[in-house]
Amino acid sequence: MLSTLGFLIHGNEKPKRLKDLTCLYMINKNQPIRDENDKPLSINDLKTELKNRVEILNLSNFQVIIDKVIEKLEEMDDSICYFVLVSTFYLSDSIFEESLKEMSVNQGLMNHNFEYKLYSELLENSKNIPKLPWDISKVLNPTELAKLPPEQQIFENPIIPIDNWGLISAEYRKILKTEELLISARENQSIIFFHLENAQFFAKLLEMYRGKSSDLFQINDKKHFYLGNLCRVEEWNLTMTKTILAKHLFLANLLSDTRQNLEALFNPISENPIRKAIQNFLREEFQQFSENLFEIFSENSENMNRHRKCHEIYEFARGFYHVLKDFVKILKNLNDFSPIDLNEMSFVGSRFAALESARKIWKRFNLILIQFIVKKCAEMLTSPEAELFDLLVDEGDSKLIRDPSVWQRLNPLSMEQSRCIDRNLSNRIVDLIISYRFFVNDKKNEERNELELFSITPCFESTIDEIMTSFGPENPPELEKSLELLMRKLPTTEIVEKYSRKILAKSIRFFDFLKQFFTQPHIHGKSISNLDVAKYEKYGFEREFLQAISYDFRSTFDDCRFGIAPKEPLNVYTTESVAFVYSQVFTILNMLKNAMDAIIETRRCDTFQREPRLRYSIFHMNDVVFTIRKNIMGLVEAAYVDMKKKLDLELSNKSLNSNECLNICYRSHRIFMKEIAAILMLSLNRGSTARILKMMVTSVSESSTSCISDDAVSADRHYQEFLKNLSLFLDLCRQDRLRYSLYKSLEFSEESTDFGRKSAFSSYSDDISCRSY
Amino acid sequence: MSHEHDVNDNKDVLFYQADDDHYVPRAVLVDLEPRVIGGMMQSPNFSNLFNTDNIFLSDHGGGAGNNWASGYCQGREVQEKIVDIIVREAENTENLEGILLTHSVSGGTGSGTGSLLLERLREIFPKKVIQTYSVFANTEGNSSTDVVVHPYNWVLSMQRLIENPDHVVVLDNAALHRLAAGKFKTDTPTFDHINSLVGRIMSTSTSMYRFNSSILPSIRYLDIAPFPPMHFIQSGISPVVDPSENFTRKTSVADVTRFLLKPTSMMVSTAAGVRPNDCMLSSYMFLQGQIEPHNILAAEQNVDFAIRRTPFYMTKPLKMMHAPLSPYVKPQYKVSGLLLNNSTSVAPLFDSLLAKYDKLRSKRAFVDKFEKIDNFSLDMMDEAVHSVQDLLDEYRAVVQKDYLTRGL
Repeated sequence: MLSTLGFLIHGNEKPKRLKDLTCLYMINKNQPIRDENDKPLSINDLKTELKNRVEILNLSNFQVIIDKVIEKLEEMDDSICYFVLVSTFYLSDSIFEESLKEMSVNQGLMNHNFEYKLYSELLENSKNIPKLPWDISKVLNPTELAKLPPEQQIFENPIIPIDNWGLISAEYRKILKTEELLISARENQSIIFFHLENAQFFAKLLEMYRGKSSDLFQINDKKHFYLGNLCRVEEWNLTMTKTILAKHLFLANLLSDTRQNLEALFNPISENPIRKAIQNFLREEFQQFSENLFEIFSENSENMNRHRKCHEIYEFARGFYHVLKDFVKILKNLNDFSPIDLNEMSFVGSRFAALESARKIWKRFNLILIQFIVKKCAEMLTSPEAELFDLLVDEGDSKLIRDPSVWQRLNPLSMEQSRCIDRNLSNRIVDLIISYRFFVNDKKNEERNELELFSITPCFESTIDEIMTSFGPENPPELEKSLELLMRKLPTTEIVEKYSRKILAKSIRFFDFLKQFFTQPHIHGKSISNLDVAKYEKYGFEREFLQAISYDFRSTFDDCRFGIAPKEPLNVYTTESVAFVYSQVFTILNMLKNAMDAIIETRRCDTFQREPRLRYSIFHMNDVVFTIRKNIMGLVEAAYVDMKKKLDLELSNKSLNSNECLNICYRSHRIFMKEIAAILMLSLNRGSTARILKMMVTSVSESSTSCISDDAVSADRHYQEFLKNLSLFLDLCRQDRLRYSLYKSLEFSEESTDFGRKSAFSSYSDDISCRSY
Repeated sequence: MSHEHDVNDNKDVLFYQADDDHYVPRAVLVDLEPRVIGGMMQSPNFSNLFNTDNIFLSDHGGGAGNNWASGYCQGREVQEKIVDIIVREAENTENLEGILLTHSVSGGTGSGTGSLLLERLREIFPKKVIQTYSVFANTEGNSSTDVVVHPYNWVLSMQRLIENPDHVVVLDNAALHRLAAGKFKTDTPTFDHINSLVGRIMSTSTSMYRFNSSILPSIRYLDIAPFPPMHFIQSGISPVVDPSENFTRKTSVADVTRFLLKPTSMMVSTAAGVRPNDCMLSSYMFLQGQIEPHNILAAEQNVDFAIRRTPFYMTKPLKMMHAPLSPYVKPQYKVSGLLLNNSTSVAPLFDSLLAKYDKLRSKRAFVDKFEKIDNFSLDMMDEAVHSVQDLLDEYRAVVQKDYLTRGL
């Protein structure tokens, strides 16, 4: 700068003067030339003034040169240009005119007639510094020029560069060691830097974080901030300031990029409610960020250490950045995040995010999500038309749900679980929603309007508000608690509870009906296919349940097929496999009963009277058939009694709600079905029980028919066939270790093909019937 | 009971509903003299119960005089009227499956006329089940019957009991008296005591049909006589209680089963003198009350090996089942049972009665009372004796191993 000034003012002839630099500094600092409002005149004002002055002095010929110089200086450095204009302002007209004429001719800019020489160039040094074509050195008195008050006449004691010993003075050494000079020397050029006070510095910093550029923080073509000029803040030097600002710049750029990415992901026309909620939230947060930055700055701004303040702002912005980064991921893959997932994320963030600002943002988002979820649940629980899939997932098949409830088996919806909502609660809510819909469908259409509980009434919003405001600073809102409160306040819970109790009672009656209907083939008479509802009602069967039974006309003697299709929700109990088991029970008992009916016809026939062996074989067949039938019926009855006992025991628990009771009911019935399948040995030998029994029954029927027809030989032959089938049946029974003891008494040995086979269990020992007491 | 409706109550089995909605028993009451039925119809309990069109009283009202031949021959004269009543009643049913006949065989209460009716019933209803509740005379001790000719009456009745019914439930008065005396704590049990026991046997044995049992839905399924004519059934009940007294025992399936399988619980007086080779041919044990199905299944297995069977192969003769209980009767005990036991141990009763017959017949004691009845000859008595002897031979043969193959 010294050499610049030196050449500018004096050319190369005079040594460089510190005083000139002082003048430059003081002029630019104090801006002495002001208008009547004490507002400093700008460079343009001073240029205008100079132009007027040149015209007044009739120096218009020189205007070109003056303009060139001023333009050059303005391009080079505003401060030097201002300095020159102010110095020229203070120059007297005579000195100005005289020096202008002389020096412009000497520099070859004008001819002797004071006409401008075309294509003349300003005199410049190697650094393109022009030499002034007029002399301002006469007025370079800092005090005079800067109009300093007397008490600030610091130049009374100017810095002396060489001390009395001829060495560089301490003060001068100190100046030479200043950072700014060192940087300038290193870069081999003059540097421009700001020296800011606290308020100015933080204002610019906050502006940067708000995305606005300033003279300190400027934006390049990539829309990234960079440090426009070096800067000092009060006592901070350039390096320290730069170092501190580096991380702020980096963060601000990250923040800006992230915000742009986010805004690019916004979809203003989306109907997705969660997307809309997130977008609205983020817009508010952007607003909130700006306001909060200001609040941080204004808190204790006078007393707080600048480092600490910067750190606070940095941490605050960093927290915001991290949250925005997460939201970018969320918005990019919004379909992968359910409201429950987001709630869990926000809950975890509100508790465990590293930065407090991030935690606060997550906390606010958590609240919004809780409100969203609670409101959605309330809609689903009060209106059958409410959209379900904002919160619930359609699994498609209840087998994909772990331990589904009765209602979920009918409608395989599920709600995610998370750390904020445990499985039991989410299952309860899903059960309530599904069962509410069943309840509504169960009612007539004209009552449907009454069943639109709350969703369109003014109470609805106030109920939600009441729930959300029940939380406070010491009791922050939690999803689980909010949902629990919701379920307590809505009438749906009570309505569904009553409805489910009715279903429970109906279910138990339905089980009674199924068991009675399918294990009493004798009441069906000969014609099973004629399911006459009126006739069965006389036996005490409920009409509604009878109408659920259908007889498949493809059924055969050994395979009676019934369809069981009650109205919802009872159809949850009657899957195809259940209908199959009941059909098998009926088939087998019916076959056995038909066998007994066939035997009855042989009584009192002549052959029967004549042939003791035949009487024996008929009796044996009847006995076997009777025993098998009795055992099956006894076991079914025992299993049913067990089921009822278990139901009575478990349902007597008052702490269970009705949905839990229905689940117990369902499971008990399933166990009962499995037990029946085991009783019928359906899993053994590929379920051939019915086929084997059918063969036995056929033998019985044919033997009886032969007996009636007086054909003892055929009757005996069929009896032998019966024995073979009986041994097959006993083979099957032996595989069922649990129940074999009931059929063991049917075992017979093959010691002789004729009668007189000794029973394995006949006894000649003392027995109770023979003992006398 | 007649006015209430219960879904498991098959009232139509033994009752029909009159136009005034009260239920009328499908019963035909027959007596050759009016005292008993007349007295019953004047009692407040029964006067409005029966259909008076179903009551037959002989015109002359003299009765049979404890003479089987008299009853039989008088019955011949009036059989058409009686049969008309029975047929009318049968035609009023939707699906007649069986007929229960209650009489005595020793003379005085339907032995003669009852025997005739048995023949006619078998003739008219060849395929229907006929089950009789036949009261045998008390021939023991001081309370022996006052009908001196009861052996003759018995033999003649026995032939018809052997040939016609499907099951005969033997109710031995001696055993009934003994049981009643023991349980009701009286030396002279009254008719009420005895009838309460008989009534309980009859009601329990028919409860399966009356209350919609799936195991034995009708009497046709009762297969208790594999080798006719060995169809004489002993019965026993447990517990035997005086209804007027408090019941202090605890009952269970095991207790009841154990008691019923004791010979002394049978209503046949010679049951205590069971022979070593006596065996059970077929039996039904009906257990009523608060019973778990598991208990019956367990009890069946426990008693399985304790039942003496015939030496030739037979399946398990004893069938235990849960019989429904009337919803209108609240017994003093939780569990009760009835055993209908077709066992060869009934034969000694017939042996002793036959011995008594032989004793009288050898001396031709009182035969003139029979001979003077028109259309009766002593050949009928001899023929009847042969039938009884054949029956006793069957009882002796069935305990032999070669019973099924004999004669082949």
